[in-house]
Amino acid sequence: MARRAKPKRNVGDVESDMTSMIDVVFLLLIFFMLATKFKMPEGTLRSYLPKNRGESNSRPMMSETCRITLMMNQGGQVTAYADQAQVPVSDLLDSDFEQNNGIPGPDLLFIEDHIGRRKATYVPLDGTGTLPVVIDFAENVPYKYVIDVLNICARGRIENIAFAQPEIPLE
Amino acid sequence: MARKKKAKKVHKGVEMDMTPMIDIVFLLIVFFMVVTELAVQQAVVILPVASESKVEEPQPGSRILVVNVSFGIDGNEILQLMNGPPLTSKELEIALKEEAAAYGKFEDNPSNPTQKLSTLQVTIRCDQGAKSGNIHKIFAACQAARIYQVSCAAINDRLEDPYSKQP
Repeated sequence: MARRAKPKRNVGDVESDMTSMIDVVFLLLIFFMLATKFKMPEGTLRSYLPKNRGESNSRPMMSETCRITLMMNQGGQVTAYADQAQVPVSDLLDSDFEQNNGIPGPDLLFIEDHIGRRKATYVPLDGTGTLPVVIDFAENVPYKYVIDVLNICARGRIENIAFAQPEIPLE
Repeated sequence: MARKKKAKKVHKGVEMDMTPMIDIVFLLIVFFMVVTELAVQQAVVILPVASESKVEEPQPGSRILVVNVSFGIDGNEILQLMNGPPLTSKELEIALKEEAAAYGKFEDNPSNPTQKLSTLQVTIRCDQGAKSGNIHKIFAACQAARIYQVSCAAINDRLEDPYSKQP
């Protein structure tokens, strides 16, 4: 039986076809470019709980406090009070949340001005500390508005912030 | 003046060196693979915007628990610890107590020497449209578990409208 002749190999000229690999690589590149969603920078607002109050959830506040009250009516309109003054409704839908709902929120600049005025005239009883601010919000108020008020307090360098306890219905 | 001889041009076998292009393409692929979040690590929460929120680097050895408040498919609000199952406020309290005990790092309470406070940190990631009443529940659960280091997550700068991406 005759032996088959081995095919001649030219060792010096080895070439690989890169086309298919480049196709796949570009496909992967396009996939990852489209699938990528960069993470938004996420920060935190510190709201440490009082640690020297035992197990009690509430504490008596001094009379010299600034109280920001947030309520929501049946139409979904958030109304706010800065102490006894009613906060006017904002003229603008100034966030994507409000634009999505189509309902403007309270005027945050009014709240900021009010807190600023109260802070400027605040005289601490013991000579130290900043104006105590109490944020009193109804259960159904969107969380965004609580953070807005908290943000205003942080901007005004107010450290003594308290969240009012929810009302417990009497039976 | 002698004329310069024209260089002989070889028209056969023109080849392009693909190596640097492939290098760059592979580099890009590796970059996008690393950056891409294919699996959703955390609950989808549209956080409120707060210009004063700060990105704080976690201290070595510290542990941060995330409590998410998001909307489910049916529109109901879901309270969950990290990526766990939906919890009620009582279940959250029990879970936080267990986590604090498992973490095992406590510090003294300045006003009550018999009581120890957990050094566990809790970050609340609450959807901006969720009811604020959830905060009361989470604060009460943290207080019961003797966790006082609580923070509220917020986006520092919004580059795009997240609602536009919602189906």
